Amino acid sequence: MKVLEVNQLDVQVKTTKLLEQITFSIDAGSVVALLGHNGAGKSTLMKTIMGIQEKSAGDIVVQEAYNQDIDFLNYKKQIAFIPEEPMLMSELTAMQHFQLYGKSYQLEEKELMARVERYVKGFELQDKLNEYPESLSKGMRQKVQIICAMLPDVPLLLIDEPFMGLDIYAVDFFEAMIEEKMKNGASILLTTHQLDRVKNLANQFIMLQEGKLLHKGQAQEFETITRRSGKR
Amino acid sequence: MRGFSSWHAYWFIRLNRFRKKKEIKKRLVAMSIDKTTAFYLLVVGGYLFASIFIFNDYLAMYQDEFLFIEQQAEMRFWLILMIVPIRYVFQAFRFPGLFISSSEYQLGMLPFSMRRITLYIALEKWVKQFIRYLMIGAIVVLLTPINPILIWLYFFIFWFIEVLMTIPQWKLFQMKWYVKLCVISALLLINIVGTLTGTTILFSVLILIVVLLSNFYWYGKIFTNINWGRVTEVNDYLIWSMPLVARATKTKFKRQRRYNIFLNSATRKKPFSYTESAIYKRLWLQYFRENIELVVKVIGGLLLAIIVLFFVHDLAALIGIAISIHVLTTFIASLYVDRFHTGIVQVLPWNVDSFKRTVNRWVLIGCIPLFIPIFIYSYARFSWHGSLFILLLISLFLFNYIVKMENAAKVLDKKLDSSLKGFLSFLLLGFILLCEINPYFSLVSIGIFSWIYFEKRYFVRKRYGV
Repeated sequence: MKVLEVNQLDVQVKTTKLLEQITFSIDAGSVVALLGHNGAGKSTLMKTIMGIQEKSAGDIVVQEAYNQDIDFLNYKKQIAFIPEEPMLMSELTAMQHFQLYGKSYQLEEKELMARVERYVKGFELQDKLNEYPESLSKGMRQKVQIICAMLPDVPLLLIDEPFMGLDIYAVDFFEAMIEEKMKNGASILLTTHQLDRVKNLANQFIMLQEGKLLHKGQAQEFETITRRSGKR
Repeated sequence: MRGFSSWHAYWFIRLNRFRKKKEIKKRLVAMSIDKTTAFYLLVVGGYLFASIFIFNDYLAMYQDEFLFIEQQAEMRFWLILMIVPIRYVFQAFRFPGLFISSSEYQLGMLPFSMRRITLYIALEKWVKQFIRYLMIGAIVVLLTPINPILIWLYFFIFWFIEVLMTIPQWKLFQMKWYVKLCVISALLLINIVGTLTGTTILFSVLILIVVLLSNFYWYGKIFTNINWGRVTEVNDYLIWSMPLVARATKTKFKRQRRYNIFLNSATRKKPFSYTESAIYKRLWLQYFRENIELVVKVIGGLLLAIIVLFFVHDLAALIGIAISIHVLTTFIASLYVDRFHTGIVQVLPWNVDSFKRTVNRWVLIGCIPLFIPIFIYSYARFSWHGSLFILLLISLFLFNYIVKMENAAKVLDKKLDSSLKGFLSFLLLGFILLCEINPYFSLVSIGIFSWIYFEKRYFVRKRYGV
């Protein structure tokens, strides 16, 4: 089953083309690494899939049923997103953020509390639950943001620069969380510069260059491509 | 760093800020105005310029009004002098008055004198304001027959008070809201007493002396007990918020909130009771707090327009009421849509119905200041028919509100088609005007209420199965 299908996607702001003719799909349970240099369009693609960035042409369909243009509210329920910079509200504590996510994704309170307890313990945030984002370090804010997005069981998880600002233990725990999600059937699209980190996680890759899809394929093929690119 | 003084550092920042803003504005113009638009703008500009030359006809037409203004300006000089400082105390609720942004603040962390940099900022503000008053004064002198000495005297006094109120506004900004409220109340009380007893000269001189003394008192303590986080946050927003650029590029310049009055409140830190209403209530509260200025401006503007129209003509008042209902409901619907495109909510699934339910009580609170004068007017204008008229207004408000919120929900789901109901809701507002011919047109409210009842009880039940 195709969890995500992106077809002939164009994103244009005034006369500037940010993404051009992007087409790819993600199968259920697979992890796809979205690669590319700074400014290649990785974050724009993520935001467009999330519906934050308006597209100018093309289709985005989740679970072969929810088209972004036709059933947007149900489409949104299928996706959880971890942005590059934490998008936390000054007015809510860490715990209140978890509750907001839980309610938004219709999680039962008991289930929510069980997951929060486990994730908070893994990220060592037990004593930070009632703290506002301003009182947390950047890494802690990132952890809170990760927990928020990992709480619901959604078929598609979008992660923009997953390991940014995390310490080594947090990275290990986060990797374990991703693997668990994969086992449960979730598909993951993640952008990263840390290729070594995602080598073991990703089974496919998509490479963007200046808003265009340069290569896509199995993760094993990626090394061959980079070597060839290096020779040129 | 030798030879690189505080002045150089300040000037370096200001120059680069100016260049950056200029570049942004240049891009905005290039993006928004093509050759055809530029041509039409030139034609309109030329027409406006030419019309200034036939302005003398207007001057002759409004000669009496200008004389009246001149007479009042002479008579009420001390009263106006007494009122002007209140403006700065009002401003102190939201603005520090000195544009110390995070850039200037960071200069203070480098080996530069913060006191000197603040002085440059204040000087820049005073000089700019002086030039502004000079230009406005020159236009008023050129275009009106009012005594030029009086005009210059007023503008000089305004500028002088602005200079004198710089430090008091800065220090008041740092204080608790109730201190500011006490100062405003005291000033208003003095104004009322002065006007009633005919001693405005005495009181205005007294106020000026107090302002002068406060300047001396606070000058030495200008940097004590300063909430720099709040100062730089407000100033960064004021400096870089460019509404036209934001509109053209479809981006938002958000205030980087580094302070929060609730931050230390233990009750607000407690987890929510796990219900949608408890969680969304806080989201709305946060949203309205961020947009309080816009909300106050729109509701205040409508309120002012309605009150003025009440005294102009009966039909004008009814048109004003109808337009207010249309504008207010459209405004609420646009805030509702914007809530979903702001902050963390934009990356979450949108439970549009729950958000709609939780915003209702805020809508009610927001409408009260507008509806009180309308209700008073209705009874004064239609006597016992007033109750019927009020029922019509409530029914039309509810109809417009429901229809626009429904449309807004469709916009959020990207499902909006041309809405007949939207057009009908606007058309129905015409019944307000028809009441001028016959108040019994108000009875249409029975039909509208019936529709609302039917919609709520049956249609919604069918759609959501609740």
